[in-house]
Amino acid sequence: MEVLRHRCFLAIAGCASWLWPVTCLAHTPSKGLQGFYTGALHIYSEVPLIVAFMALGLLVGQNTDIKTLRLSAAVFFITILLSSVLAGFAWIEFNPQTLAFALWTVVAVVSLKVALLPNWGRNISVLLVLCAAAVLGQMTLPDPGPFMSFAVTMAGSVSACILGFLCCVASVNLLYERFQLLWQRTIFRIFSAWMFAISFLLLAVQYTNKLS
Amino acid sequence: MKLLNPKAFISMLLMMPVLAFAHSEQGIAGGFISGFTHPIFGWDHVAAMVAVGLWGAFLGMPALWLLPVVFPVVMAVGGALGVLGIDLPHVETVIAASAIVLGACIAAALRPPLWVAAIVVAAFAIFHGHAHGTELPDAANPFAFAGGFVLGTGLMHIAGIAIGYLVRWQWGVKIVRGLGAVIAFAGVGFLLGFLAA
Repeated sequence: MEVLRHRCFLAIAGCASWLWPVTCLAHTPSKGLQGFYTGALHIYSEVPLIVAFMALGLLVGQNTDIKTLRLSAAVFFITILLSSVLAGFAWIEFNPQTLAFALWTVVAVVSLKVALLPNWGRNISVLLVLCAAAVLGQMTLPDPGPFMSFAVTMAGSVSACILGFLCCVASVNLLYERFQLLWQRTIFRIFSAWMFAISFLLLAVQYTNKLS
Repeated sequence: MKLLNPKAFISMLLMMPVLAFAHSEQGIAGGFISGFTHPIFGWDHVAAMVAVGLWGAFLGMPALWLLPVVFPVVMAVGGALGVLGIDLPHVETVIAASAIVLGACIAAALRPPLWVAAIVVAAFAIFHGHAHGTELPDAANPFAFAGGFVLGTGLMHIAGIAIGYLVRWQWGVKIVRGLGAVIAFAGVGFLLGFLAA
């Protein structure tokens, strides 16, 4: 984490993120790998998935214990891979409405925990990461198609999920360790409470739609 | 920092609404603006939300974070009741009463135990949430509407907290208590119909 505390880091990160889209969009994807980019961009264009990454970032990123960070990351990687493979190749999949319901439930529980008890219950946090990764893995499933194209698109989606998770965790961890101030923890709690409110309301909307 | 000239900044802020409302928005943007303005253009909501932030700042830590956290959490439960079509009695009356009670607590410099303050705020939050929640299923984009009104509510809490920071000075305490009294009187106006909510 020392490197993240370095004064130059923010400047370098800012320049890199400013340059990144230009570099990224300057070239068309390699032939045969278009699916990879389609899968990756699909993840970042879904608002519920972004909200889920933010909630997970707030949950995991507020840990200062490196062992917990590693364990949470390992659980996320393994679970999302298993979940995607099971959904993609063993056809153990759920319908989109059930998945959306599950995703908002996980986001609501994660946000509530972060808002009220951010540093309590390491095992519960890891369990929540596992649940979220299982749901996210199911949501990365591309449309059916030829095996190779299907596998490449799924690889893009899973990679984007892992990157999204890492970016959110690292950002929150950076802020948490950089400014060890009360106001910053207060903002994290209030922001999590807002995310709980949004996810809980959307759960209610989905439940009403299901009933009607 | 020269760029942050206060006069220029205030002038820009004054011009912003004209630009923002010059175009009608559809879809996600429309849903967000509709949700965002729902608590902001209801004066009874504004009074109560600002009062929550003010009271949190007045009570100090940990009420400073607990009250603005409890409010949206419980408000979501009230909102869910509204979405599910479960009616609550006298919603508008209780919303007006929330401004009276919270404003009076600030004006009287009441410092109840933390759990009492949390329960008072939570009880009112259910009714505020219900008022917003009833409009949610009809929104073009429920996510944008929910995001908008939660953000609007939260920003008013933050405004209340920011004003409440004046309590660090002796003269500031008087101003904050005075604002509490204004909110309480406004609540009476909403309740009796003198002021339009």
